[in-house]
Amino acid sequence: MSLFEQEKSVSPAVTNEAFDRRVEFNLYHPADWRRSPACALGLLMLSLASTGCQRSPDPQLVAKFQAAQTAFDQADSSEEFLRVASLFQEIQNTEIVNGHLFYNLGNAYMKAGRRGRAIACYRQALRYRPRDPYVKANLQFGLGSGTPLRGRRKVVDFVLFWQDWIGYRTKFQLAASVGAFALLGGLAGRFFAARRLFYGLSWGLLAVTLILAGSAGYDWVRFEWVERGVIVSDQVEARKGNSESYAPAFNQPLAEGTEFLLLESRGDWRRIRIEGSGEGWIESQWAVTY
Amino acid sequence: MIQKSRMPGTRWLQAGAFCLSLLVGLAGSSLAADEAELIVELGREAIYEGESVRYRVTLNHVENPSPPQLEALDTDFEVKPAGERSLNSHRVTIINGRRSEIRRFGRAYDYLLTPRRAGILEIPAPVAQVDGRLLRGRALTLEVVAPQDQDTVVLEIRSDRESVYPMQQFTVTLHVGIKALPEPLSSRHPIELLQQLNRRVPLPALAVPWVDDDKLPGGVKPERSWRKWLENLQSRSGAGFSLNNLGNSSVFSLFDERPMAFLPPSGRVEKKDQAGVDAQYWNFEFARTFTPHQLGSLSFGPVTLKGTFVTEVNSQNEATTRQIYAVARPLVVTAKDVPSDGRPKSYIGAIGQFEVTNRLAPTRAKVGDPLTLTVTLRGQGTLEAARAPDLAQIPAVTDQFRVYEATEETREGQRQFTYSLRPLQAGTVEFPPIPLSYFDVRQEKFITLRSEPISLVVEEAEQLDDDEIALAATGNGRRAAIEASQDGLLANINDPSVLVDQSVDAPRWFLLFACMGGGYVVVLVVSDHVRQFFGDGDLQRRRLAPGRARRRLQEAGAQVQGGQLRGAVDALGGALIGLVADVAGIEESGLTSAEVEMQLRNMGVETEAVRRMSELLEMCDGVRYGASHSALQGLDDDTRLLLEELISILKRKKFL
Repeated sequence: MSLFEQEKSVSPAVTNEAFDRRVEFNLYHPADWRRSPACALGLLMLSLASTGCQRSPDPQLVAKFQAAQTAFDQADSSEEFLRVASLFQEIQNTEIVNGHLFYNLGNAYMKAGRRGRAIACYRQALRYRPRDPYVKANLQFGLGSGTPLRGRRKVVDFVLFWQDWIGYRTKFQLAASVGAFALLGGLAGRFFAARRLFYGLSWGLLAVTLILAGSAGYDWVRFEWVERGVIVSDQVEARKGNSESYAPAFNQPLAEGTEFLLLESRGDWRRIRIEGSGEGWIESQWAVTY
Repeated sequence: MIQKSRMPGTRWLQAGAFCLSLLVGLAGSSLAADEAELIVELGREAIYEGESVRYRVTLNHVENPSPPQLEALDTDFEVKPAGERSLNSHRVTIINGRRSEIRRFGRAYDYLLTPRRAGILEIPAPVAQVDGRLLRGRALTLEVVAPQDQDTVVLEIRSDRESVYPMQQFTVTLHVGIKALPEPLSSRHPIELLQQLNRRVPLPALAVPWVDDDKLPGGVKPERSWRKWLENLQSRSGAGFSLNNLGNSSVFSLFDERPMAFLPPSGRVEKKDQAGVDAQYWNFEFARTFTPHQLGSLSFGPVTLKGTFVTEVNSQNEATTRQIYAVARPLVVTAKDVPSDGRPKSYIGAIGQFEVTNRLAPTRAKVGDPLTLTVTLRGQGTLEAARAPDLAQIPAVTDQFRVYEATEETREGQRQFTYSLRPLQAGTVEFPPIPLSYFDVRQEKFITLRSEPISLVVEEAEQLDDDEIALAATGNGRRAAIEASQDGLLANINDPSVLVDQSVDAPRWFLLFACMGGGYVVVLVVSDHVRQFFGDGDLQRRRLAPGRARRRLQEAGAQVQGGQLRGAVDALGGALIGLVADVAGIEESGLTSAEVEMQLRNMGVETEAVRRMSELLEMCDGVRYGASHSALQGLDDDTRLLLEELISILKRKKFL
């Protein structure tokens, strides 16, 4: 069996096309695991404990997903890819929130030539799958090689340096699981002879729990309380105020795919801040927010 | 037809021989009736030339029919399918207990036959293939009456162009020429005059196929809908032509729908009559403009006119009218392809009139960054047919940019081509004009448009470290032969098992954390209490003291019953002293009544209770040595009462 065949055989769920892409890119997926093997092992065990009782997907949902995927495979024009995007969007709107779905939705928009919307989808996919090399690669392709995936880092980002290692939901699950182990350890220390061992373990796990809970809380704030967006049309002129009569806010129109932070909404106008450039007002129709 | 009968019960057995013979007879006749047959029917026996007649071919008793072959009719007729319908049916009837089931199979095919010539024409027998054998119908005859040899009304169809390009408009005009009346009525409008003479005379009826938008030749679109076209031709006076018998209903003519009158602008022209003499004609023109959208031959007509016209006026100014039937021969206009001579390489397949704009974003980037080029084609014409210009064939583009396949989209009357580009070198570069050719139908030549050049600033891309490069240098320091491509999208996820809901309800999670912490505190408090209880001997002794004292009282009662008076007295005193010793946490043996009294006082027990305790203990000592059974009974009761009182006091004082 050749090396390629070996790799194919261990990941049957990946399509040939996906496999070929992965070989082509030599993605650093395995390297990620090598960087923090203990972390990976710990995460694996804990996530198994916390996610072991997840239900299998609903058959209707699977049917919709497969129909959308089939339409994606058969599409060959931007109109058809837009229709596929609407199918994935419908699943997101009515059924579940899922990082893989955001990723596929982003791909459909990208194929339809809607770069801005694709970037917004990849960004949302990263919330749930922050280590996924596929999402990162496609987001980087959408942004262009010159644009870094992450913007300017704040102090809190350096403190919570592990922030992008674990998904949004997984952080909560891990915090709950580790917290449960910490409490069990604490109780065991009160009743069993190896008191110091149990207390030590319990304090350690409690510290991890607090870190994870804090990290999850930080995610909650930046995902649920801070609204971001992406420009979805070319040559969008940002203004200094909320009408066309105001002067342009920047020295050039905003290009599709420009990311921003939403500061305020007034009717159909949005006040936005572009990192490193300043603030301006745009009409809501030229952007998507998430 | 398949007919099945089932006779119930024995009633019919009585008619044995008769039924048998009847059934045999019926079977014979039904077999004959079930045979497949091809029936032909004709709507009318005689029509005027230019008119059409309905022709129906019915395949009866055929379960899987196929359309009949009518190629033989092509010589004398133009055949147009006019629909088909299934004749399959299944009916069950029960009359007087007799159940009949009737099944029928068949299919009727309708056609419109338009004769190509006048005379008595034979409609050849149609043929249909049924279950591997040929089924032949019967031939029919149709009398086609030629238009009268007259020159009173002359019909003619003309077009301003014999051949057109797709998207090139052309106008088809029906000319209706009506010979001017003799003097002194020569200046009178012949149609209006006719209506003035007799308003009950029916309007001259025109049958024009292209009035109906649904019956236009394929690939042709009218400039305006038939309603808007005829709106301007409608006659207010009521005099004019009727068109395809279009009706005019009103509340005053509930049961009388009379055709609407249409009267186009008219003028007088001179043309040769039947005798070759110049004659004055009133000319009426019904002109309609069309646009072809595909190649091919476009047939318009024939047009027929039936009506009563004034042909003569005598010396007493009395008019003679005559029924006239006139036909205009069909006209064929050819929609032809754009010329191949002089067709430029940049021709994108669009025909019409267009303008082009382009947009590149962003206009400041780094080498390798994706840029989006949008080329937009606007105008009137075959937008859908326009193909994206092939930028890979333009050296000025490929020298500076890597070009990816374009996406095409048509929306809001414009065709948009979107390209993804990546600049290959740094510097201030100009995206070159893109040549884009289309065929202009007005000028009937190819027009090449050029998009505007776009300036953009391309900066050098940041350098990556070796370990950041996907396929880094090999051991000997040379770059790998195969490099990772950074272009294109990675594949979709298609494994449905990943479809788990990852939504986060953060407040609920935080509530869970709080509950876990709260639960832990509760467990800690409970465990502390448990541990404290089991680890403190004095506490356990205190808590267990009332029970122990009561048990000793019960033992005393048993000893009284057993006649062991001394033992009973010891047990009664022991119960009281034991209670105090357990609560105080001191040794019970050797405690005197004075010491017990002191302990109770130390505990804050009321003086009365202490006094009673002392008395009772002294009484116990007295009874121990001179006991009688009756005295012991009273002592037992008093001890029981005092014990319960003491327990109650000690509980109140939180010693228990």
